[in-house]
Amino acid sequence: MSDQVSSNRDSATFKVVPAAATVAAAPSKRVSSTASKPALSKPPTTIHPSAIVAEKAVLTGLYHISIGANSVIHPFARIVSEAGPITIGENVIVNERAVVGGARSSDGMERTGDGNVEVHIGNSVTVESSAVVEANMIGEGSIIDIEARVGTGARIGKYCKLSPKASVGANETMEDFTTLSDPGRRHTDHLLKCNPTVRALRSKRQKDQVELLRRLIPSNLAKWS
Amino acid sequence: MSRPSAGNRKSTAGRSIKGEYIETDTGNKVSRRAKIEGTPNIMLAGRTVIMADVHLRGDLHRTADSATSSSNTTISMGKYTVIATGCTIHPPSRLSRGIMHFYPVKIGDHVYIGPECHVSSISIASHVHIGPRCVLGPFSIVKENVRILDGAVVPQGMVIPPGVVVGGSPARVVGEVPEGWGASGRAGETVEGGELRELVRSIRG
Repeated sequence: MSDQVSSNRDSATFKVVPAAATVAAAPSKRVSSTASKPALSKPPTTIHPSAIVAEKAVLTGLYHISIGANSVIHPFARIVSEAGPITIGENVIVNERAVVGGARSSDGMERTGDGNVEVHIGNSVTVESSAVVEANMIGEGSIIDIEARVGTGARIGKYCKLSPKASVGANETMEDFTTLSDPGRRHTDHLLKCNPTVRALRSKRQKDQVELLRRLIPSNLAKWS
Repeated sequence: MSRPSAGNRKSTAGRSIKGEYIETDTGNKVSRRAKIEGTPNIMLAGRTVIMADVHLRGDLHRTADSATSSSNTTISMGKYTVIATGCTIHPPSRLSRGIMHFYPVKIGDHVYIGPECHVSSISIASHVHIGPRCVLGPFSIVKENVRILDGAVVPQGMVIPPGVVVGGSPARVVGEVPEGWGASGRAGETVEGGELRELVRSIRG
């Protein structure tokens, strides 16, 4: 009695409302209701040839987006450079439904010219599902967990961890090696701070994860070049 | 393994606009607006409901060189299981014998997963009710007859014993489910944790 949802069975029906940017690329007869929306702009990009950007990932905005070597952008992740340029380092993983960058109007913040709306994501950062990252800076090896939020202009240090649903307000700063749990408690992760071995293992794990995803997620860089 | 025939689908397309759900021969109702990756790796037992904007990551399967010769099923769901809008089901991954692997997610019968949940559990047993906006961490195990309160954050690797209520962030056991949990309500009524037959039936394309 088991029934597999098979790709050969009318697979088009599962992607009726693709993420907005793909609507422009592949219009189908069923998206007429969304056709009136202005087509999202395709941003200028620099993507390293070894990066993995899924077919259904969304890169949109006006400013430059650069993605470093071996970074993985999952399907339905959104990189939005409407407010300012976005730089993503090496070995970064951005999961589905996560939003990096953000619309200019998200909190009424206009581009001020002081560079605060730029987004820099360091090497080996993981942005989990449904997280929203509008931060100015995310340090190397940090983890932004499920549904966590980082406000505009915030600066997150190296090897920080935001627990699920934790949130960092606009222009706040987090020291290196800080863990932030959901009710807003912060503490320093001394294990990571004092042991370079642990940090090396963390970085190796990230590389293994990237290699695993490389085999599973088909990349389509041509779409963004 | 049967595919819905064209005629079967046409029966729901009586109106000018196509229905919200695609119904398969075994009675699965899958929203057209669900975002499903890796569809061959997803196993639905029948009469399962997958609502709009649900992300199923069936593409994150065990890699071929793993010892088991079994199929690459990544997400399996039992009968009368309802996945509400905006949920994400993302198989967990970990290092095993020096190699990273994704592990399959198994969901039992009569499980209700509320809106905007994130599920990375390895196993959810039957008659489980999960409230809205919950996060189930990687490798968590939920046993049968469990109620998870709204917005609970179940940490990585937590095992929730049978018949308890859990809530909070991080989640902990806050009580036991009342007597009669898992039994069906009166005819035509859906009770939390009970049989979801009526709820599934009430959802129409």
